[in-house]
Amino acid sequence: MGTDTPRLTHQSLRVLKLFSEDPAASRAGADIMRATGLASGTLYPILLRFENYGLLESTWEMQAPAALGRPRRRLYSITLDGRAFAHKALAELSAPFLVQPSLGTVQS
Amino acid sequence: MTALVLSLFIGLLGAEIHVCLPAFARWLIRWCASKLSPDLRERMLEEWLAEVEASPSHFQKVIFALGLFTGFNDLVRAHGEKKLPKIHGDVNVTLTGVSGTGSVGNLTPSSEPGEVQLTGHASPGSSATAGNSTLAAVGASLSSAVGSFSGASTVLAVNAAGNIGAFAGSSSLSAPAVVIRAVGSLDQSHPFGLTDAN
Repeated sequence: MGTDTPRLTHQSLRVLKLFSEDPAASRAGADIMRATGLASGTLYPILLRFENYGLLESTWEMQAPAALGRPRRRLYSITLDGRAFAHKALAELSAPFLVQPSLGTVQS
Repeated sequence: MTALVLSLFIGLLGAEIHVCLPAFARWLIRWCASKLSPDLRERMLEEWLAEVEASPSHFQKVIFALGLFTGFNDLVRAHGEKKLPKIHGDVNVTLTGVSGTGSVGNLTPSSEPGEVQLTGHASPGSSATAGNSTLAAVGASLSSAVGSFSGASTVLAVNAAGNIGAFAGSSSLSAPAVVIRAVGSLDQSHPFGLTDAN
């Protein structure tokens, strides 16, 4: 994992959420686009950023293109660090807002 | 009759455009990939072309390619090929080596974006007078020599962070004689501050 944490946006959280729902799954870019509703130009910078930070990893399809009948695709999957990071980020997002008691009450 | 011919023509035109859509998508993807850094270029080209081939319809192929094109700025900002910034203003490089202190040339704006030229004449220290000089750009993606400098043996380097450095020496000095580092951005109109890295 990188020394720093990546910048999280609404779109990148959608990607993290998708991967954390089924951590064992490997997905191609177009599959992630369909599942998250993100455009390719939005998705790929996110994927590359997460990969640089070690949150995602990618490999080429194992089968030969001739056997597949099409070019091999790149498949992305979440790493152990990515799972922990996604869990933390999504938990923080869903945590209820805390009200500071020291603020007191509003006097009318 | 005219309406029939017109509708036939529009139908043929539509079919022709439909046939050309995948080729257009591939062309757009190649263009986007060509702007990426060399380490990513081949991989992303293969990956994107594979995604296009896997798309079930011609329109989806184009939508995929157009999506990359519209997000092109983000991609290039994060993963684009780094180019040398254009030089503005003068940079005086001071040599402080075995032979003493001297002044070597000025940096001037290049005729080509992304290139650096060092011009002027050397007035190095007493013994730093011989040897061929090289003006080169080094760094992650900055490996091409971009000019020459006559005088003391000098290598001017620009790293990926935009700092310049001069590695100077001559045949009469034990190389490397000195390393001088410039601090600051290259893309500015004021002379750069130079500090001796030794």
